[in-house]
Amino acid sequence: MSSRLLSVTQKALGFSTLQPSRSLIRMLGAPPEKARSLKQKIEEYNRPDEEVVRRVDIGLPSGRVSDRTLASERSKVLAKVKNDPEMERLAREQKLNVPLETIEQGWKESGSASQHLKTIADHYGIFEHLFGYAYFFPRVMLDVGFVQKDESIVPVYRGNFVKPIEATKAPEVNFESDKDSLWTLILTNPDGHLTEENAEYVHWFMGNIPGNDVSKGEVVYEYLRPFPPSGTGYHRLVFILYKQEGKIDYSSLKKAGPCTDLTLRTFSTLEFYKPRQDLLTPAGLAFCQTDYDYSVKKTFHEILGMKEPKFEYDFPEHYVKEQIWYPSNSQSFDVYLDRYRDPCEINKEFIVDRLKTTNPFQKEKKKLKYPLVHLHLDRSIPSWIRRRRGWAEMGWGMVNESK
Amino acid sequence: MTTSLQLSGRALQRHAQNVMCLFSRQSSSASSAPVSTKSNNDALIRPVFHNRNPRNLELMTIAQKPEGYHLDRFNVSYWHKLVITVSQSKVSADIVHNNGSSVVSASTGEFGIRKFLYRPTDVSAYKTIGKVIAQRSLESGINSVFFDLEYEEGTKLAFLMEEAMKIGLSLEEAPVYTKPFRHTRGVPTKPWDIVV
Repeated sequence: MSSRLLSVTQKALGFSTLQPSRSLIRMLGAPPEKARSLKQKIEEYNRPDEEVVRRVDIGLPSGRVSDRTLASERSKVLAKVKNDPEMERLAREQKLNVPLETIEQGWKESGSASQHLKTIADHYGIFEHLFGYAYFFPRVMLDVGFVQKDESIVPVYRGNFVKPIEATKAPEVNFESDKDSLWTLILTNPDGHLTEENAEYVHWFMGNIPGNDVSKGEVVYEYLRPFPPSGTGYHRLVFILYKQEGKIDYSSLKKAGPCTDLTLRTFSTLEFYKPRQDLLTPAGLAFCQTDYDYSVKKTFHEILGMKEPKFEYDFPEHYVKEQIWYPSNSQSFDVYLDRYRDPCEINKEFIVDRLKTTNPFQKEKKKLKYPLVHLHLDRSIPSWIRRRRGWAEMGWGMVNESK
Repeated sequence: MTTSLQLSGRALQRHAQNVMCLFSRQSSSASSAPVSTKSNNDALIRPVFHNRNPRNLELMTIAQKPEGYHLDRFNVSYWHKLVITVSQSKVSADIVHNNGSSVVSASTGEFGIRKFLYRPTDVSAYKTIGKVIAQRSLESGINSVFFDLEYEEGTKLAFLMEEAMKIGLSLEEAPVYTKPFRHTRGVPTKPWDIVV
């Protein structure tokens, strides 16, 4: 292929009798089967510098014993299981009941829990949004649960759903630790900032926690219940437990009382962690997701003292074909023409129609179950008007935009 | 669940046709109603809110699902898929995201599970894996997954799926919600609206 192309080029350039020169071949480039495609070239061009984007492990070292050292012990256990006649009987009769709680306990102790937790946290973009290019394996297992009025517990695992009404009080937090070690626990929401891009709200900050007793720690920020505004979807609430090297002075961050000014609650985990990285090591992680419920309205009004903001997802507009003089009659002419009318004008029409029958100073009439039964329209009225009236009664179509 | 998906049949049909052209936008931006400046907190609320949670649009059922190609052997139109791998020495279940990464996993190769089983691939092993993968995925905020493998009743796989469903894992993902046309018949209800 390439040699033929070469000869064609040579003929065109008028030196077919000459030997093909090396420089010409170089000018033509590699043959298509060997050359990189445009897609590959763009990919290579856009690839970020590996030194810049390389992720750094900032967590505690793994205390895990390697599989090889455990192998002999494990094979003994498995041999015992294999020679257990009772277990064989249960397995054959399909009655072998495996306790899920025990499996979970073993999973946490074996260290695979921290691997799985890191994987799912990456899937939820936790490290990316809180620590940039740093990550950590959560070596200390956090046991977080919101205690309810009826003393049931709503747990926080790694992305499960918790409603704001269930999280009105600070959760109970447990973890394994020595008595004389010090810890810091921070609860942040990286998704809910109302005024800034790429910022977090700190909902709870406990510093210098002695042992695993969170209540004895120093309160830096008091607990503030989550407030995901309506229409903004699911917010992550991330608990991060740091191990301290010694006592840390948090007086510069400390806020007295229930800090309800949201500007003071603005927080950045990376900015908090960077100057203190020699004193703090992230050790534990738990997170849940929360979305709007009616208790959020109360939080905005009573605790934050502000109007409740409401958001709506901004869908891209539908494509509308250019209007033509003679469209196909597959659809009604009024539906076709409505596409090109000003929506405000259409809405005004519906509102004026509604106001003809209702008094704005009185309560609206109760909605009928079958409104079309009560709609008596004369046959002399054109069918497209009758259809429009019927749709408006049913609450279908464009009438919804005027409400 | 306080949210529900109510769409008329016609609307569903339409949105199935238009997924690709309608959902080119990836960020979940939203515009707000005007807010008065009553207190300190009210000031400077952004008119556009950006939720950084990468799973948010999937949970709101407005994220794209890959369409795949007509001659693809497997359906790739999902957000999370349950994949079950069987070998001689173990049974594994993984929840895989459509970007290809395995997010949640459980296997009888894990010593913590294996030590309670007589055999790593018998019926009780399948049942246990069904329970464990369902529990782990619910704890990870994945309540529904895509699963299109066909199986007969009474097979080992059927036992696995049964146990997973008992724990509460739904084997059907919600359809993608698309913005209805203005002239669509029926009452449009968004999946995230609270229906009393």
